Amino acid sequence: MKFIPLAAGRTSLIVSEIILKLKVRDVMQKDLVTATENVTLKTIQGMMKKSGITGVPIVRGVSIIGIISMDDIVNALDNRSIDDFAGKHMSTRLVILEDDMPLTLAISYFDKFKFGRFPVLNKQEKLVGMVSQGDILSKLLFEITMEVRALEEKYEMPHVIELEKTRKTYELESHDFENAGKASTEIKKYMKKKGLSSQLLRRIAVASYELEINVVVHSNGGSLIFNTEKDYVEIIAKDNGPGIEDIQNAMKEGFTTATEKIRAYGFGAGMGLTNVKKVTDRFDLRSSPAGTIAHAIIYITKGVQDENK
Amino acid sequence: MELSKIVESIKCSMLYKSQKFEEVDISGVVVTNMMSSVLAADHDDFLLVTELTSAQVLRTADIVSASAVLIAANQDGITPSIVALAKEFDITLLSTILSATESRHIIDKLV
Repeated sequence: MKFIPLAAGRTSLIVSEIILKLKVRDVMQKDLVTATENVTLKTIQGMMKKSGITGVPIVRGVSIIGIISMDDIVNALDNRSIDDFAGKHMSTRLVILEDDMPLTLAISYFDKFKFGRFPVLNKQEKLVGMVSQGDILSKLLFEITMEVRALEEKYEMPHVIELEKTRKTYELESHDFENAGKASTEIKKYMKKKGLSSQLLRRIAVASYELEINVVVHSNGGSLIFNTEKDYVEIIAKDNGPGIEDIQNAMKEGFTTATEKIRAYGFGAGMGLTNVKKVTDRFDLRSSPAGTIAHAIIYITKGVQDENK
Repeated sequence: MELSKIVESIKCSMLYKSQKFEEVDISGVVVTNMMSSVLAADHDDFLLVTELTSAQVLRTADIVSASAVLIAANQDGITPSIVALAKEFDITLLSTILSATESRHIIDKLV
């Protein structure tokens, strides 16, 4: 069995760090199946089969005095000595590991001695575990998985996601404060199922919500159109007037034409359009007395985002 | 900070308890009556404190994934439809007769 090489030049930094921090006690099997020297090999054969193991330590009290391996069982079957006691056939040439030994050292023992497993003793020389190559690999795989997950969460790895083409249209009524935001809530719920990062989801939700509220609060009514393409989402807010008199001013933070009634609902801070510009990759606004069209795009993949900034 | 600690200190009413209530760790508090300020804030897992009693408070909280909403200076203005929204979005909804400023003051002392 090939082990993960420990030479620094051939092992990744993360894997090396994981191996270096582990001790034998971190990987060993602690639920031990043991037998005494007066148990027959046949019984031990049954124990191995039941527990799915290939080696059984032979103990006297809490001390290990030998090991019966699968090879010993096979030999006993060949030699018709399967009914003999374990004490007669056990291997007494034991190589022991200590539970606080670094895993790196334990790994080298497998190479050196060519045994499939080693018993593990604590400082009081009590048998506390057994460790095999499989135990080491399982633990390493687990630790590596945890490490990768932690890194993914930390850096919010961009998902390689391709959206299917969809189009959703929501009709918006002027001053319908009871339902204002409902469309954006649905959009967020829909996009949540696509596996986007929480950051992307928030941007889409905020852009959609601000544009929706703008139509409800400031216009004679209109619609919110939500399109998804392979690598971007598009939000279009269209209304039926009265239009924005001064677009440049409207894009300034704090500029508002909201009445007191509108402010009582929590709107009209003059931040809506600046919020949209902040969270989108592309945003443009066209307006006339006949109506306003606000058009926003958010790219799903970082590479496409960077190309288009 | 655990949400339960805040609830205990402000002695507020719990109108809806989210299923994630026990796990929630509040990272900060946003105190405002302007929903665009909430949308502009770049926080996660925060408590929104406001004196507004409107459906928009809950919708905004859902959009930005706020952990909980505390409606301050409440004089029985919270309608069943607002509570229903809290339930739909699974956002803990609290109310208190204390003002937003008083509530903020108490929460700040917990930190």
